[in-house]
Amino acid sequence: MSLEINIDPTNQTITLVGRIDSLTSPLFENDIMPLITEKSPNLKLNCEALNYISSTGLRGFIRLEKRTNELNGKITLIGLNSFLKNIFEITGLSPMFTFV
Amino acid sequence: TDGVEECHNQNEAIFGSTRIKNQLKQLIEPTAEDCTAAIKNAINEFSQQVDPHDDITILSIQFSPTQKKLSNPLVISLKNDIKELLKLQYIIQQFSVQHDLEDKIEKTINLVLEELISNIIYHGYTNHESHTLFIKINLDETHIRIEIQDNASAFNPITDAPKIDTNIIDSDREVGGLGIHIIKNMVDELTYLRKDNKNHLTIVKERK
Repeated sequence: MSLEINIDPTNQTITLVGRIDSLTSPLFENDIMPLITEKSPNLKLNCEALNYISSTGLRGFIRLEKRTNELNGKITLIGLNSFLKNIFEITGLSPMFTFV
Repeated sequence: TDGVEECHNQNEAIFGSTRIKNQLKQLIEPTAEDCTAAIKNAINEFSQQVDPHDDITILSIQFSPTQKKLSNPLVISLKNDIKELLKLQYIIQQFSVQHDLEDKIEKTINLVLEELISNIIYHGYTNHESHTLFIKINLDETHIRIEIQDNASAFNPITDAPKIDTNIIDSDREVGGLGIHIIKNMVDELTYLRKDNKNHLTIVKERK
């Protein structure tokens, strides 16, 4: 299984399907980073079909958050499953993101 | 053997490889035995009374990767190549299905193994030679026990990995140690031993 990134240009929602791991996290970061701009600093990530995040993937989330934060934006994670939400909690990263 | 393809009939026509392929294509979900029987039958029909010029030997091999029963305990060997993680993912998925492993336990094993194995592959070796790591998975009714054995540099992830402070909310936090922090929080037992120039790490997780 790999990672699929679907970008909806109208409301800047990005749908993530699959895994963000050692093999796919470079793709995750490189594809999404350019979408964070001064004009639109907010990111909405639909995570309903995301089923895996490793620590390498978490570092990708941290770097994206850093960029949005610099531009006074925020990252919203939609529908993240409880297993993955728990990983954000035990690493102390959950206050950096908005979960809906 | 080529006695199949070169089989003749009364008009000196040969059976040929196309006939072999066509015979096999006609079968729906055949077993290896079905394939052999179909070819044998087709040769008999084609050659009629003509005696074979050469020996005829047919060997059919059935390839069925998803039906292979994975043993318990299971030993997996991996090379120090990061692409081996795909193989590992596949084996864990198959093992989980076959042994009715809870979804949460499967996800935990996946995560724990990826963190530890990628760490060994990326940081454990000082040369570029090929190395082999071993993972042993042992499942009983209440627990899953995983042992990782590698000949990489001595590294005790419990004490040697950088500690992270989860109270510091900081965008600059790109430090290492995230992976081992997650593992410590997800498993019930984690023990390390350096023996015979090898790292031995044992992970125990309760199935509940």
